[in-house]
Amino acid sequence: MRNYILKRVFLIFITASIIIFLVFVFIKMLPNYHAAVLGVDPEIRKILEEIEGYNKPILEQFGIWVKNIFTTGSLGRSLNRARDVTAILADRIPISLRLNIVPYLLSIPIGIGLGIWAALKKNKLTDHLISIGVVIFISVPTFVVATLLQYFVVYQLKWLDTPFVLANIDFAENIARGLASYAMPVIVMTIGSVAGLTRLTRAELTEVLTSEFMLLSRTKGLNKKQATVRHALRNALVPIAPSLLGGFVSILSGSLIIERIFRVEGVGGIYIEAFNNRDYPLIMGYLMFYTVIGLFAGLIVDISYGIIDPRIRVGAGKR
Amino acid sequence: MNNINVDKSKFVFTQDKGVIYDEQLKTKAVGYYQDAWSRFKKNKASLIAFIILIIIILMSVVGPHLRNYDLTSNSESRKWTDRLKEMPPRISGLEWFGFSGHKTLEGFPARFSILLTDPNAEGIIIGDFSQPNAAGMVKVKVDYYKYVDYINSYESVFSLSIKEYNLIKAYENENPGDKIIITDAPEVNGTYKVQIHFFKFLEVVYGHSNQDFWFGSTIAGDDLFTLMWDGLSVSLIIAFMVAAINIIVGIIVGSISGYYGGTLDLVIERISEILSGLPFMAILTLLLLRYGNTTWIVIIAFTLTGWLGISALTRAQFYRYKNREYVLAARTLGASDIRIMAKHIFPSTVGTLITSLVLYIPGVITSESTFAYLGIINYSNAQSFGALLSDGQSRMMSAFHLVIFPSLVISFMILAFNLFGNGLRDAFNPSLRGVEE
Repeated sequence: MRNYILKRVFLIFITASIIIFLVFVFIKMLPNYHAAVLGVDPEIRKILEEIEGYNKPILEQFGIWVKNIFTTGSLGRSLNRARDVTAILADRIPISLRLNIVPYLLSIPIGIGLGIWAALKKNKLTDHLISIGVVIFISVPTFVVATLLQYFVVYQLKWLDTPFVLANIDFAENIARGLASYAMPVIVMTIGSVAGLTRLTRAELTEVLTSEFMLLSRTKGLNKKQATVRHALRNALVPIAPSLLGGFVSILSGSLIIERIFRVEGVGGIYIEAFNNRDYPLIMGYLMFYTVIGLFAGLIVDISYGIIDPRIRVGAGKR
Repeated sequence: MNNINVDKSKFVFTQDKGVIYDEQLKTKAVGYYQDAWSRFKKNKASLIAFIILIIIILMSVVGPHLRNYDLTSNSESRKWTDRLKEMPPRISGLEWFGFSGHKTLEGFPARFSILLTDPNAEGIIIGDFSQPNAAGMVKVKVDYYKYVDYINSYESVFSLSIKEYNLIKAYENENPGDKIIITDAPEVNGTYKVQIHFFKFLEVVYGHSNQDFWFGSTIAGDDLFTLMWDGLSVSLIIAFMVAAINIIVGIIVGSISGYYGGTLDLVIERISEILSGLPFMAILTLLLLRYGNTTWIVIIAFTLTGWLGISALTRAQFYRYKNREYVLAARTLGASDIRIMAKHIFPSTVGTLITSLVLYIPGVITSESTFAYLGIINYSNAQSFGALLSDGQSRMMSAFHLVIFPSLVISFMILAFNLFGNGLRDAFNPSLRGVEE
């Protein structure tokens, strides 16, 4: 197992390095990169050239960039915010995390619960209702759900006075109002992940429920409930648990769409801003962060698969 | 045992002469696809979804041509569209269904009392005034089309170019009694400052025959109906192109690496592993930053890593079938590799591939519209659904139609694609029926 994990970590490291290098070179080669990044102020220009080596070849710049990450923790200087990208990301991650953690925690019991319920009542009315709900919520795009929710809650029913999440200053001023403003994004995100989780749980459980060992466990004297809880559920959760762990890592990178709709100052929000302002160092920093998080989430999923179910070792060879 | 006495004569041979042969089946032979189709037909939800899909796809082709709205295409008429912004939806015959062209306006009572006294403004105000709010404003329901015509005809003075003025004069000479100009004025520096019947003027000079905006008009005074189907056709073209390219590349790469295996497979696997680590968002934004916002760049971004999934699927299917007996038999008979791949293995995998293709298209549409909503994808020639919705969102308090129509259409379309895909999967692979819903 240890060797397997080490091998996976090493492979992820290689993949991440290649991807980050490719992105770095591609960004550096954008036509108006230098003019945009260096700006007109000769003093800043000089400092930047010194720290980040803008006058050197791209390969060397990549070396300097990587070296800076390890020596000073710097990912480069953002143009628009005139701050270090690392500092900006560090500011934003807690905000994204705070917004994402509640839907994540809420969706697990609800999603798995609904999935189990649907699987146990397969082809009955309950199952059909849940399945219809799942198909609808998987199909309707997040921005549609969020926009309609905003319209009805804020403009029609007037339950809330703003369609956006309050910024930190307003939040401190009126905590109750601030918390209430989190309700809509939390609902939208919860609905989205519940639908996916319900579908997965229902699919896995219905498959397990028809397998032979269920018959065996009934034969040896367990009643239906015991057999389901002790045997079926345990086996059905094997493929679900790793994806939950991976999902936890992914919430770090925030949600572009939710943060845009509800004007949350999170990691995803900063990326849209960086893209619109052509803030190349910030784009680079975010893409690197996003890539690493994505790969890391994949790694966690694969490794936990191996731990939870030793039969599955992704890429572990033929042994 | 009871002894039952039965009269022997009651026993009769059913078949005492002749031999029974196997009878020829009277049913028709049912092929793989016929079988799938007959199973698909039984799934009512999928069948309805299929019909809805066909309607939506047809609309994306004919929709933009149903309205001859070209005020915005012409730079001279463009300046008038501003006065037609955020018109509520109106379809004659469907007034009862919310397409009445009515709108609730808010303002000071004095503003509306003019409308009540002026005989030219007859029929504009429909509902009663509400109670004044803290600022003294009231709400009133108006026939917005009449309202717009009224304020532009009687409360505004336009600067007409000589060309526009002459066109009106020519029309008035041809149709005496049908006046467009309310108060005339002489030419000053190439313009006429006159009062005109606004809708009549648009009709005569620009051919905008006072038509209704079926789905209302946008902030810029565009016809939302036309714009929506235009945007939809762009989305659909992208989705189908992406799906076609991905499936072709994916099948070719997947079948080669699955069929030959070995080193080739190993190399392809490593390459796809690195490619699959590249976030789609990174690819899309980098390509857009480098090559600009065009449909082709978006298609390339979607296809750069999009084929990986289909390739992996095809590879797995080829691994599954390549050592079957019938493949061995074909090889023994001297069939070439290409023939075995195309004629023997591929048909066994086609059901899975069709299903994954149909379920892949809504995914492309969703992420295309999501990135358009975020403003990252932004075509110059058309507005994608996401962009329409994003524009409408800022004005949804006063013009909800800008949000609801695009929302409904895109949601129904993706829902229909998903239901259709699920139905196809059940039809092609009955053993999986309902497993993944």
